[in-house]
Amino acid sequence: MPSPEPYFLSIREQGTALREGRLSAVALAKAYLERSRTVGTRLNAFVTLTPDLALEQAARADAELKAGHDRGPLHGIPYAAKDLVAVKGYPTTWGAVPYAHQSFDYNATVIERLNQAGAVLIGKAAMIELAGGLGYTNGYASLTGAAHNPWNPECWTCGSSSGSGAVVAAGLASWAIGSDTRGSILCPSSWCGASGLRPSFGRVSRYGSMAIAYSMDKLGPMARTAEDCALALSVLAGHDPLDHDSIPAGARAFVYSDTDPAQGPPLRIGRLTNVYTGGDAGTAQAVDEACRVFEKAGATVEDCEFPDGPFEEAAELTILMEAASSFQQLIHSGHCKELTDPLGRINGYVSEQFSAPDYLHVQRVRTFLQRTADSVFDRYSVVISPAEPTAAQPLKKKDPDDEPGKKFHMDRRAPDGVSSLCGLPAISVPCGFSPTRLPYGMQIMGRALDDATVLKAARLFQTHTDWHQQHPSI
Amino acid sequence: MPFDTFSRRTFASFAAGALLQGTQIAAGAEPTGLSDPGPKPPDLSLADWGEVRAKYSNMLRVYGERLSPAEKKRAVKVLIQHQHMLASIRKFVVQNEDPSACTLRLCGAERV
Repeated sequence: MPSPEPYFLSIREQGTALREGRLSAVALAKAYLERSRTVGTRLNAFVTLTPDLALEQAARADAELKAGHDRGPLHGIPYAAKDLVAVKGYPTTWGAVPYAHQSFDYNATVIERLNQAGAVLIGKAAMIELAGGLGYTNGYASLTGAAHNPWNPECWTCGSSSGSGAVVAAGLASWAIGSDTRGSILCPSSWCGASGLRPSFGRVSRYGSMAIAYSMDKLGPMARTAEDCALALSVLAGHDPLDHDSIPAGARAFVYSDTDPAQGPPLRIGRLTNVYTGGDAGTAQAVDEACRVFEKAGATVEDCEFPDGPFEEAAELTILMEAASSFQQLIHSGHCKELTDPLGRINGYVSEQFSAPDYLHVQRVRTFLQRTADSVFDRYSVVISPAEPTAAQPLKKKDPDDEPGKKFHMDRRAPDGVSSLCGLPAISVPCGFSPTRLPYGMQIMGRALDDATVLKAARLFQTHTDWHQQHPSI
Repeated sequence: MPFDTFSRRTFASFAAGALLQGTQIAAGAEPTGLSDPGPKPPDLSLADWGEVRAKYSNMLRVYGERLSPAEKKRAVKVLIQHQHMLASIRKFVVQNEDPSACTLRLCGAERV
């Protein structure tokens, strides 16, 4: 691969090249490994590279494809896994000093599914320590230091899937697994100019992956196109009896159909006008432009307001309370003092002070909030908004909450908080650039289990735009 | 009297007095300062502030020896943030007959 461009080919394009013999899986894996050693190191994108495994899997993929044994869309395609997903025989650090030497003797379900699909693991992507499970205040809160944004290394990738965002944006693998408890796929996808899907809760098994908040954790794909997300999800999704919250086998399964997204009844899109109202005006303008694109593509778009409710409070409290349980050993042992971030070192002690009635109250309120959110989709196929209030921000070691006189403020309808709390599928897709050429992301959110419509809307948008085809100069 | 000049004996008598007033004080809290969370933030109600104080006190009772003065100060700040969120969500009243959040998934139900 002499030109850098093939690094940015989509999964679909790479798969076609592999099947037509224009590219080998081994050559593709070697090229990504080399780029990951050079560019990836500069960006702090990986915790661990897995070259032996990658080349073994790639050689097997080449042999199988040559013999006519096609395992599907990810066969021979390189990917990275956020380092909270267990891969047998390799460290799984959870991005945190106390777990720097941890390893598991089994694979997470998603890794097993990807092995069955013939995918090629390039490495374990860097992440915020404990995926932010005990809190963090800045991008340096990681075993491997801050991940740098490929669009501007002085800026952060966002977290907690910080390495996964850098991997996809810098062309270090074809796609990456991220995890999202409250925005950890959507924010890095937005800030890095990637397409990142946080699937419906329970759609993808979390067995073998670190838990933060059992009722909110999700795994999902971060890729260069919405179609790539769909292809990856078609492999990742499915019932797993080992995950307590896995969607039952009989429930609405995800099946990817690569038909023209303009086919079928026109999408009815609600443009949320009452979220991130204090954000960067550029993000709102970019979403307004996107509305016009959707309308030209045959969708109907109208302004709408998201109902009021303590969505963000419920999301934050649920995470804090459940994390106090999932990291109880770390908290009780006192090893949380080894975490990098000063907030992470104490947050477990503080969160243990919540009461059981408060937890149950939050969860009972949550059922009302879910119904409120669901009612929005009686009128709209999907709703859209800026994915984040700003483009990528500079890396700072200082806690922004430490600013003198800063008062408590919470955007209670932050769309990534709403969709996380309610387990709704949502994708962030690139929709423009800031004046300093940092990507803006648009969130497309859908009804629970309707991942297919979210992906259809994102594919429709990307059929008519080329924001997702623009890549940083590295 | 600043807390960092308390001896264990004077602290004990203070704690006993505080308990009589209905305030929980950490039995094992060290005499070297920051046993008190400081002044009430203007945007918290008295009841919410009382809850913050009680939680802070309990946290010090269990983990006080692990925390530096700076960490204790930060913990107060975090507790206040948590209390704001709790106050907001408690405004959303749920009644006895409203849906439960507790579920029991029957073991083996998948086999039926």
